[in-house]
Amino acid sequence: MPLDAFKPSGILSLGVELELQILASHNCDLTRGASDLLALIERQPHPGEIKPEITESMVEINSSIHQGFESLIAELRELRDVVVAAADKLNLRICGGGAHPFQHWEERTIYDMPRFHLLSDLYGYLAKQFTVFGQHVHIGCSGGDEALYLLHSLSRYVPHFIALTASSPFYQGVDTAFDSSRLNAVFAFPLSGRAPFVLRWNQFEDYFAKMQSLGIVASMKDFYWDIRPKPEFGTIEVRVCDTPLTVERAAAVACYIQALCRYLLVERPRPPREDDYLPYTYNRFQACRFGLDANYVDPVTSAHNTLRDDILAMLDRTSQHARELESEWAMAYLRSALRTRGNDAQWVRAAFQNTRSLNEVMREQSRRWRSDEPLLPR
Amino acid sequence: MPATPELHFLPAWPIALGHFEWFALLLLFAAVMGEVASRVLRLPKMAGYLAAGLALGPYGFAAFDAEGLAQMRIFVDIALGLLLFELGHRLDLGWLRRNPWLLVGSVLEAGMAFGAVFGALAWLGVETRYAVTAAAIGMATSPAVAVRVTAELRAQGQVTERMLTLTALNNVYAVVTMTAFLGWQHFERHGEVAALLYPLYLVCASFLLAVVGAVAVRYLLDVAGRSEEVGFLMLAGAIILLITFALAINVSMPLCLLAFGTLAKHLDPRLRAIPRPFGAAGAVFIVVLFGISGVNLDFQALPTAGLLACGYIGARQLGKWAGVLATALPSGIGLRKAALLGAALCPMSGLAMALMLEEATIAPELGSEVGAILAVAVAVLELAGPVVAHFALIAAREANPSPRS
Repeated sequence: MPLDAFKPSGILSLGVELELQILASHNCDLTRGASDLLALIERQPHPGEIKPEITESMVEINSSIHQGFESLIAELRELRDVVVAAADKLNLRICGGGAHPFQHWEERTIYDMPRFHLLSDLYGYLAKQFTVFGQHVHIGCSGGDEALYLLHSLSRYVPHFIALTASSPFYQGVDTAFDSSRLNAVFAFPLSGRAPFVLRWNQFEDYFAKMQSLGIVASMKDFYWDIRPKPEFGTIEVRVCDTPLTVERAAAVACYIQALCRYLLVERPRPPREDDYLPYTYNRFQACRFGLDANYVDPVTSAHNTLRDDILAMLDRTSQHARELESEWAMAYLRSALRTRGNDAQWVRAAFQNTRSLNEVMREQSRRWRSDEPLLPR
Repeated sequence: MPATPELHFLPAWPIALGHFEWFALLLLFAAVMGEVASRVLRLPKMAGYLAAGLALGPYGFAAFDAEGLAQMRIFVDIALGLLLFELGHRLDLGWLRRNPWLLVGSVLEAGMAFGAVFGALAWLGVETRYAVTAAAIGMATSPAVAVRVTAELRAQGQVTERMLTLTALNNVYAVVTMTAFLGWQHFERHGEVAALLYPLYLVCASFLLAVVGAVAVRYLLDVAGRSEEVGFLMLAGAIILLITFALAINVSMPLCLLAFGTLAKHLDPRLRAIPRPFGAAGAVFIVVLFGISGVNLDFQALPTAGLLACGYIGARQLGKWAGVLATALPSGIGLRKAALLGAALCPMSGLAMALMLEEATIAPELGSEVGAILAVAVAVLELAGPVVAHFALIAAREANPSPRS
């Protein structure tokens, strides 16, 4: 089956997918609950989509297509409330966070759908270890060439997205020292990493056809890239974010990505080059490991900077575009987070300092998930 | 006696086996039978323990007489205490508040089981007072089976969670109903106040004892730390004390320990959950509990009361099904899961029943006819119950395969 034609969609339209954790109330460990939860939600009207994921301890919420912050946050809150209300009925807790801090991966069960069983057979323990929870952001593009331009231009900012959403410092019961341990689980997959450096959609189709004739991939879903094109939606999909602990942060980061894309499309600062990828894995590792305090190497100027300063600079550069998109709140949220409370990984570590118990951290995390973060005055 | 004085050092043969030796043999035999049940027959381990007990009981080696059983009593009480504690610990009162339909379902399944059994027995012409006692006992699901079947299958999901919650609640209903009825019956001639005071005392004093225990354990754990050994020792100690005190002040041991488990969880402001009470040491108690249950199985009345016992089981089961099915949709599960839940509520426990009967200060009379029906029904559900619950959870796709397999 050849690659779908790239179906144009509204330029800079925005969609968010969030993978959520399902916990047992009594000990806050991951539990089987997706089938029960989805069966209950099926009977209720709700916007967007609520879907199963690979294991029974995970559920995914998808927003519909948005143009800016206000409608996005309203819908994400509504979706969140529908899932939380259903979970309350079933004595389950729902929360964000990129990974569960003390789950035992061997206890996970695969959700009963053919594709998930196929993946589980192929990847063995990796599939169960892949019980990690990410945020995916879709940005609409008018065509395949534009999608590839955005995809490669955004690669410079991938560390921003990682550091802003990192929320998985604990894994298998220990502090990993990483802000995002989740991405380490993703890197284990053979087709993870970045898309090949091609800027024309027909070149990309050639690449895909070659990979297909080698028998390595069947569809775009088999690539676990940090950013990948989604031709049937007409979008590029940024996949490096941990699921944040609140929908507000999820919406803010999505709108930041959207504003960056507008900046790249309108100002066309410079064409992407293959050499932009030279510091890519170094920068990505730094962002996973050190979060906002990471060292960031600029692929163009070779300047070293802290990631925090680089993000603050970009927030200033893109503020005009955010205003055009009516997403100033998102930028204000991120600016204040960078100056004060940092990212969610810092919150998780502080919660552990206070309670000395990962069970309690998860209980706090599920409380945090269900409540609104106040929207700051513009 | 040695045959000749030269061989005086040789022991007498055969060596006489006392209760203690039989007890040790029960452990060994049950361990083997448990593995046979689980690996070869794909049945719950409990079924193997019960079979081992049955083999050593009056229908097999007749290894334990009344005195022998009395010596085992403390082990059985501790085992039941641990399991009741665990069940109480899983009872989340917040859930009942967030999902009141669950509470309605709980009241209905127990109430309808009571009603159906009472109706059936009354229709058969059984005296009202016997019928009430037998129906009250029928409300309760075996706490030990609910907890163990969950642990063995590492089960998670709505059928599992609800089975545990409804079991904890229907045991409370059974104790309270029976006490209230006995109190009313016994003290009627002293006036309504006296009739009310007895159940009131039983419930309040059980609860108060549990509060004292839970608060004490919580502060002791703060002092001693919450490692697994400390937790197990402290729980074992607290549970033995609570059992003894419950007997001494004439309150209900099951009620007290269920409440102890629930309070221990709700009073602890932190989620440093009390350590799980079943390590390797806990396994001994579980084997003893089910082994002795097997020894106690009483099929004497099977020929005479067998058919009526089937009626008892059928009426009870229909009541339970009606209750959970009626509230399935509003409480948030589908009809298939509700049917499996109803099935998982079928196990009965002879030991728990005996405890309920004997700890009522006023021993209830069952009459020989109802006594026989109940004995057979309990024996059947004691054996079949764990198997039914086991397969109900598997059919609900809530069992997790063992990580080793």
